[in-house]
Amino acid sequence: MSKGLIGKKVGMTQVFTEEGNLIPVSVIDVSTNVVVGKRTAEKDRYSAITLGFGEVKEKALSKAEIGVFKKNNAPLRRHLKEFRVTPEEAATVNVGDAVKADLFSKGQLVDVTGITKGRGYQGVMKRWNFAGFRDRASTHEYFRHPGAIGQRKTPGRVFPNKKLPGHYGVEKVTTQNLTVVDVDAEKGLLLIKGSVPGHNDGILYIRPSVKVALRESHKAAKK
Amino acid sequence: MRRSLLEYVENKFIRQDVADFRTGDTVRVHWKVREGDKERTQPFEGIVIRKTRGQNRATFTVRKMSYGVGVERIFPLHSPRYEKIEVISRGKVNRNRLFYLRKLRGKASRVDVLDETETAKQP
Repeated sequence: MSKGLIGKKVGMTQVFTEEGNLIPVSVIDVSTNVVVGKRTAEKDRYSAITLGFGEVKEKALSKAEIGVFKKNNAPLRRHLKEFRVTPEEAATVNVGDAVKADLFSKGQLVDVTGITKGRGYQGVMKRWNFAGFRDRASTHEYFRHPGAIGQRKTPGRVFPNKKLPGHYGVEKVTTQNLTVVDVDAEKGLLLIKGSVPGHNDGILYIRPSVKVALRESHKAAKK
Repeated sequence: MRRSLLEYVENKFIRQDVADFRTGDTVRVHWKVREGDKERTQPFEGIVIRKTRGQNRATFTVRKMSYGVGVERIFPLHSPRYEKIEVISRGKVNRNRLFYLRKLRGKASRVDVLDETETAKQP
Protein backbone atom coordinates (compact mmCIF):
# COMPACT_ATOMS: atom_id res chain seq x y z
CA MET A 1 0.00 0.00 0.00
CA SER A 2 1.07 3.44 -0.75
CA LYS A 3 1.34 6.03 1.97
CA GLY A 4 -0.07 8.92 -0.02
CA LEU A 5 -1.30 10.23 -3.32
CA ILE A 6 -0.43 12.92 -5.82
CA GLY A 7 -3.36 15.07 -6.87
CA LYS A 8 -4.45 18.14 -8.75
CA LYS A 9 -6.59 20.80 -7.13
CA VAL A 10 -9.76 21.08 -9.18
CA GLY A 11 -11.39 23.86 -7.17
CA MET A 12 -13.73 24.52 -4.30
CA THR A 13 -17.47 24.11 -3.89
CA GLN A 14 -20.02 23.18 -1.24
CA VAL A 15 -21.75 19.92 -0.44
CA PHE A 16 -24.53 18.86 1.91
CA THR A 17 -23.76 16.39 4.69
CA GLU A 18 -26.18 13.65 5.65
CA GLU A 19 -27.56 15.87 8.42
CA GLY A 20 -28.22 18.56 5.81
CA ASN A 21 -25.41 20.89 6.80
CA LEU A 22 -23.68 22.75 4.00
CA ILE A 23 -19.89 22.46 4.22
CA PRO A 24 -17.07 23.87 2.04
CA VAL A 25 -14.94 21.32 0.23
CA SER A 26 -11.89 21.25 -2.02
CA VAL A 27 -12.15 18.83 -4.92
CA ILE A 28 -8.91 17.02 -5.72
CA ASP A 29 -8.35 14.90 -8.83
CA VAL A 30 -6.23 11.83 -7.99
CA SER A 31 -7.29 9.75 -10.98
CA THR A 32 -4.00 8.76 -12.65
CA ASN A 33 -1.78 7.64 -9.76
CA VAL A 34 0.47 4.73 -10.73
CA VAL A 35 3.41 3.05 -9.02
CA VAL A 36 6.35 3.80 -11.31
CA GLY A 37 9.24 2.59 -9.19
CA LYS A 38 10.52 1.39 -5.84
CA ARG A 39 13.41 2.24 -3.56
CA THR A 40 14.85 -0.64 -1.63
CA ALA A 41 17.00 -0.76 1.48
CA GLU A 42 19.65 -2.86 -0.28
CA LYS A 43 20.13 -0.54 -3.22
CA ASP A 44 19.08 2.90 -2.01
CA ARG A 45 19.44 2.48 1.78
CA TYR A 46 15.81 3.35 2.34
CA SER A 47 12.50 1.91 1.38
CA ALA A 48 9.94 3.87 -0.61
CA ILE A 49 7.64 3.66 -3.57
CA THR A 50 7.54 6.23 -6.36
CA LEU A 51 4.14 7.35 -7.57
CA GLY A 52 3.52 8.98 -10.91
CA PHE A 53 0.59 11.26 -11.69
CA GLY A 54 -0.78 12.91 -14.81
CA GLU A 55 -0.76 11.24 -18.19
CA VAL A 56 1.79 12.60 -20.63
CA LYS A 57 2.88 12.00 -24.22
CA GLU A 58 6.31 10.63 -24.92
CA LYS A 59 7.37 13.70 -26.88
CA ALA A 60 6.78 15.92 -23.86
CA LEU A 61 9.52 14.20 -21.83
CA SER A 62 13.26 14.13 -22.32
CA LYS A 63 15.05 10.88 -23.16
CA ALA A 64 16.52 10.80 -19.67
CA GLU A 65 13.08 11.10 -18.12
CA ILE A 66 11.62 8.43 -20.37
CA GLY A 67 14.53 6.15 -19.40
CA VAL A 68 13.33 6.15 -15.79
CA PHE A 69 9.95 4.76 -16.83
CA LYS A 70 11.33 2.37 -19.45
CA LYS A 71 13.77 0.83 -16.97
CA ASN A 72 10.91 -0.17 -14.68
CA ASN A 73 8.48 -0.89 -17.51
CA ALA A 74 6.09 1.66 -16.05
CA PRO A 75 3.58 3.97 -17.81
CA LEU A 76 4.70 7.57 -18.47
CA ARG A 77 3.65 10.18 -15.94
CA ARG A 78 4.28 13.91 -15.63
CA HIS A 79 4.66 14.26 -11.87
CA LEU A 80 6.65 11.95 -9.58
CA LYS A 81 6.77 11.68 -5.82
CA GLU A 82 8.34 9.19 -3.44
CA PHE A 83 6.45 8.03 -0.39
CA ARG A 84 8.42 6.31 2.38
CA VAL A 85 7.01 2.91 3.32
CA THR A 86 8.27 -0.10 5.22
CA PRO A 87 9.76 -2.95 3.12
CA GLU A 88 6.73 -5.12 3.98
CA GLU A 89 4.36 -2.47 2.67
CA ALA A 90 6.46 -2.02 -0.44
CA ALA A 91 6.23 -5.74 -1.13
CA THR A 92 2.42 -5.53 -1.44
CA VAL A 93 2.51 -3.39 -4.58
CA ASN A 94 4.00 -3.89 -8.01
CA VAL A 95 5.31 -1.38 -10.48
CA GLY A 96 2.49 -0.46 -12.84
CA ASP A 97 -0.24 -0.83 -10.23
CA ALA A 98 -2.80 1.95 -10.16
CA VAL A 99 -3.33 3.59 -6.78
CA LYS A 100 -6.93 4.66 -6.36
CA ALA A 101 -8.61 7.33 -4.29
CA ASP A 102 -9.99 4.66 -1.96
CA LEU A 103 -6.58 4.60 -0.30
CA PHE A 104 -8.31 7.11 1.95
CA SER A 105 -11.64 6.62 3.65
CA LYS A 106 -14.49 8.94 4.56
CA GLY A 107 -13.86 10.84 7.78
CA GLN A 108 -10.11 10.19 7.79
CA LEU A 109 -7.77 13.06 8.65
CA VAL A 110 -5.12 13.90 6.05
CA ASP A 111 -2.27 16.36 5.53
CA VAL A 112 -2.22 18.17 2.19
CA THR A 113 1.00 19.69 0.84
CA GLY A 114 1.11 22.19 -1.99
CA ILE A 115 2.75 25.32 -3.36
CA THR A 116 0.91 28.45 -2.23
CA LYS A 117 -0.32 31.19 -4.55
CA GLY A 118 2.31 33.84 -5.38
CA ARG A 119 1.58 37.19 -3.79
CA GLY A 120 4.60 39.14 -5.06
CA TYR A 121 6.54 41.62 -2.95
CA GLN A 122 4.52 42.25 0.19
CA GLY A 123 4.83 44.42 3.27
CA VAL A 124 5.10 43.15 6.84
CA MET A 125 1.37 43.40 7.58
CA LYS A 126 0.37 40.91 4.91
CA ARG A 127 3.54 38.81 5.05
CA TRP A 128 4.04 38.49 8.80
CA ASN A 129 0.75 39.70 10.25
CA PHE A 130 2.32 42.78 11.90
CA ALA A 131 -0.22 45.10 13.49
CA GLY A 132 0.78 48.33 11.74
CA PHE A 133 0.22 51.71 13.39
CA ARG A 134 -2.65 53.79 14.71
CA ASP A 135 -4.18 56.17 12.18
CA ARG A 136 -4.76 59.02 14.61
CA ALA A 137 -2.75 61.28 16.94
CA SER A 138 -0.47 62.74 14.27
CA THR A 139 0.83 59.51 12.80
CA HIS A 140 2.30 60.74 9.54
CA GLU A 141 2.85 58.47 6.55
CA TYR A 142 3.65 55.54 8.83
CA PHE A 143 0.70 53.15 8.86
CA ARG A 144 1.96 49.86 7.46
CA HIS A 145 5.65 50.06 8.40
CA PRO A 146 7.60 47.42 10.37
CA GLY A 147 8.71 49.88 13.09
CA ALA A 148 12.10 49.55 14.79
CA ILE A 149 14.18 46.63 13.56
CA GLY A 150 17.20 46.67 15.87
CA GLN A 151 18.61 47.84 19.19
CA ARG A 152 21.51 50.31 19.82
CA LYS A 153 25.28 50.12 19.70
CA THR A 154 24.93 46.57 20.98
CA PRO A 155 24.37 44.54 18.98
CA GLY A 156 24.69 47.25 16.33
CA ARG A 157 23.21 45.06 13.64
CA VAL A 158 19.92 43.56 12.58
CA PHE A 159 19.51 39.95 13.57
CA PRO A 160 19.30 37.36 10.80
CA ASN A 161 15.82 36.17 9.87
CA LYS A 162 14.27 39.50 10.99
CA LYS A 163 10.75 39.63 9.62
CA LEU A 164 10.77 42.31 6.92
CA PRO A 165 8.98 42.99 3.63
CA GLY A 166 9.80 40.76 0.70
CA HIS A 167 8.54 38.11 -1.64
CA TYR A 168 5.55 36.19 -0.27
CA GLY A 169 3.90 33.04 -1.52
CA VAL A 170 5.09 30.30 -3.90
CA GLU A 171 6.31 28.28 -0.93
CA LYS A 172 5.69 24.70 0.09
CA VAL A 173 3.00 24.56 2.75
CA THR A 174 1.30 21.64 4.47
CA THR A 175 -2.18 22.01 5.88
CA GLN A 176 -2.65 19.40 8.59
CA ASN A 177 -5.65 17.42 9.78
CA LEU A 178 -8.14 18.08 7.00
CA THR A 179 -11.16 15.79 6.97
CA VAL A 180 -11.91 13.60 3.97
CA VAL A 181 -15.57 14.30 3.22
CA ASP A 182 -16.04 11.91 0.34
CA VAL A 183 -14.05 9.47 -1.81
CA ASP A 184 -15.00 8.75 -5.41
CA ALA A 185 -12.65 5.97 -6.52
CA GLU A 186 -14.39 5.56 -9.85
CA LYS A 187 -13.88 9.16 -10.95
CA GLY A 188 -10.68 9.46 -8.94
CA LEU A 189 -11.87 12.35 -6.81
CA LEU A 190 -11.22 13.27 -3.20
CA LEU A 191 -13.44 15.78 -1.41
CA ILE A 192 -11.61 17.43 1.46
CA LYS A 193 -13.20 19.78 3.94
CA GLY A 194 -11.91 23.33 3.82
CA SER A 195 -9.19 24.87 1.70
CA VAL A 196 -5.92 23.38 0.47
CA PRO A 197 -2.73 25.28 -0.49
CA GLY A 198 -2.21 26.71 -3.96
CA HIS A 199 -4.10 27.67 -7.06
CA ASN A 200 -6.50 25.54 -9.09
CA ASP A 201 -4.68 22.93 -11.20
CA GLY A 202 -1.83 23.04 -8.67
CA ILE A 203 -0.13 19.76 -7.72
CA LEU A 204 -0.82 18.47 -4.20
CA TYR A 205 0.50 15.63 -2.08
CA ILE A 206 -2.07 13.99 0.18
CA ARG A 207 -0.89 11.87 3.10
CA PRO A 208 -2.50 10.40 6.21
CA SER A 209 -2.28 12.84 9.11
CA VAL A 210 1.05 12.61 10.95
CA LYS A 211 -0.50 13.91 14.15
CA VAL A 212 -3.12 11.17 14.21
CA ALA A 213 -0.36 8.60 13.67
CA LEU A 214 1.67 10.15 16.47
CA ARG A 215 -1.28 10.09 18.86
CA GLU A 216 -1.89 6.45 18.07
CA SER A 217 1.73 5.52 18.67
CA HIS A 218 1.59 7.28 22.07
CA LYS A 219 -1.53 5.34 22.95
CA ALA A 220 0.09 2.07 21.94
CA ALA A 221 3.19 2.89 23.99
CA LYS A 222 1.10 3.49 27.13
CA LYS A 223 -0.40 0.04 26.94
CA MET B 1 -12.23 19.67 -17.57
CA ARG B 2 -12.01 21.59 -14.33
CA ARG B 3 -15.58 22.88 -14.57
CA SER B 4 -16.93 19.50 -15.58
CA LEU B 5 -15.43 17.75 -12.55
CA LEU B 6 -16.79 20.43 -10.22
CA GLU B 7 -20.19 20.20 -11.85
CA TYR B 8 -20.11 16.44 -11.48
CA VAL B 9 -19.61 16.84 -7.72
CA GLU B 10 -22.20 19.59 -7.45
CA ASN B 11 -24.85 17.80 -9.48
CA LYS B 12 -24.84 14.91 -7.01
CA PHE B 13 -26.37 17.24 -4.44
CA ILE B 14 -29.16 18.73 -6.51
CA ARG B 15 -32.73 18.17 -5.32
CA GLN B 16 -35.11 17.07 -8.04
CA ASP B 17 -38.29 18.22 -6.30
CA VAL B 18 -37.47 21.94 -6.19
CA ALA B 19 -40.59 24.07 -6.47
CA ASP B 20 -40.84 26.42 -9.43
CA PHE B 21 -40.99 29.99 -8.15
CA ARG B 22 -39.53 33.41 -8.93
CA THR B 23 -38.64 36.53 -7.06
CA GLY B 24 -41.77 38.38 -5.95
CA ASP B 25 -43.64 35.17 -5.24
CA THR B 26 -44.97 34.52 -1.77
CA VAL B 27 -43.78 31.14 -0.54
CA ARG B 28 -44.02 29.01 2.56
CA VAL B 29 -40.88 27.02 3.35
CA HIS B 30 -41.47 23.98 5.53
CA TRP B 31 -38.15 23.91 7.35
CA LYS B 32 -37.34 20.86 9.41
CA VAL B 33 -36.26 21.67 12.94
CA ARG B 34 -34.61 19.13 15.21
CA GLU B 35 -35.36 19.46 18.92
CA GLY B 36 -33.52 16.84 20.94
CA ASP B 37 -34.29 13.68 19.06
CA LYS B 38 -37.63 14.90 17.75
CA GLU B 39 -38.15 16.53 14.41
CA ARG B 40 -40.89 18.94 13.45
CA THR B 41 -41.48 21.37 10.61
CA GLN B 42 -41.47 25.09 11.09
CA PRO B 43 -43.03 27.03 8.24
CA PHE B 44 -41.52 30.35 7.19
CA GLU B 45 -43.75 32.41 4.94
CA GLY B 46 -42.78 35.52 3.05
CA ILE B 47 -41.82 37.16 -0.22
CA VAL B 48 -38.85 35.85 -2.21
CA ILE B 49 -36.63 38.89 -2.68
CA ARG B 50 -33.56 37.22 -4.15
CA LYS B 51 -32.57 34.04 -5.91
CA THR B 52 -28.92 33.21 -6.52
CA ARG B 53 -27.85 30.56 -8.97
CA GLY B 54 -25.02 28.04 -9.14
CA GLN B 55 -25.79 24.32 -9.26
CA ASN B 56 -26.20 22.99 -5.73
CA ARG B 57 -25.02 26.27 -4.24
CA ALA B 58 -28.17 28.14 -5.30
CA THR B 59 -29.97 30.02 -2.54
CA PHE B 60 -33.06 32.17 -2.12
CA THR B 61 -33.95 34.85 0.40
CA VAL B 62 -37.40 35.10 1.96
CA ARG B 63 -38.50 38.31 3.67
CA LYS B 64 -41.42 38.71 6.01
CA MET B 65 -42.63 41.18 8.61
CA SER B 66 -42.75 39.66 12.06
CA TYR B 67 -44.44 41.84 14.72
CA GLY B 68 -43.35 44.95 12.84
CA VAL B 69 -39.78 43.77 12.40
CA GLY B 70 -38.45 42.75 9.00
CA VAL B 71 -37.00 39.22 9.04
CA GLU B 72 -35.01 37.72 6.19
CA ARG B 73 -33.87 34.15 5.90
CA ILE B 74 -31.54 32.71 3.31
CA PHE B 75 -32.29 29.10 2.35
CA PRO B 76 -30.12 26.84 0.22
CA LEU B 77 -32.38 25.86 -2.68
CA HIS B 78 -31.16 22.26 -2.66
CA SER B 79 -31.00 21.76 1.09
CA PRO B 80 -32.32 18.42 2.33
CA ARG B 81 -33.43 20.27 5.46
CA TYR B 82 -36.72 21.54 4.12
CA GLU B 83 -39.72 19.35 3.52
CA LYS B 84 -41.25 21.38 0.71
CA ILE B 85 -41.70 24.87 -0.64
CA GLU B 86 -45.30 25.94 -1.13
CA VAL B 87 -45.98 28.73 -3.59
CA ILE B 88 -48.80 30.81 -2.08
CA SER B 89 -49.09 33.42 -4.83
CA ARG B 90 -47.23 34.71 -7.86
CA GLY B 91 -45.96 38.26 -7.63
CA LYS B 92 -45.86 40.86 -10.38
CA VAL B 93 -42.54 42.64 -10.11
CA ASN B 94 -40.25 44.57 -12.41
CA ARG B 95 -36.97 43.56 -10.82
CA ASN B 96 -35.03 40.42 -10.16
CA ARG B 97 -33.95 41.53 -6.69
CA LEU B 98 -36.47 43.25 -4.48
CA PHE B 99 -34.18 44.99 -2.00
CA TYR B 100 -36.32 48.13 -2.25
CA LEU B 101 -38.88 46.37 -0.07
CA ARG B 102 -36.58 46.85 2.90
CA LYS B 103 -37.21 50.56 2.91
CA LEU B 104 -40.96 50.26 2.59
CA ARG B 105 -43.52 49.69 5.34
CA GLY B 106 -47.20 48.82 5.42
CA LYS B 107 -49.26 49.10 2.26
CA ALA B 108 -46.32 50.34 0.19
CA SER B 109 -44.38 47.15 0.84
CA ARG B 110 -46.95 44.92 -0.80
CA VAL B 111 -46.21 43.12 -4.05
CA ASP B 112 -48.93 42.98 -6.71
CA VAL B 113 -50.32 39.50 -7.19
CA LEU B 114 -50.51 38.02 -10.63
CA ASP B 115 -53.99 36.63 -11.34
CA GLU B 116 -54.51 33.08 -12.53
CA THR B 117 -54.47 33.74 -16.28
CA GLU B 118 -51.20 35.59 -16.04
CA THR B 119 -49.78 32.90 -13.83
CA ALA B 120 -50.51 30.32 -16.47
CA LYS B 121 -48.57 32.33 -19.01
CA GLN B 122 -45.42 32.30 -16.91
CA PRO B 123 -42.84 29.74 -17.99
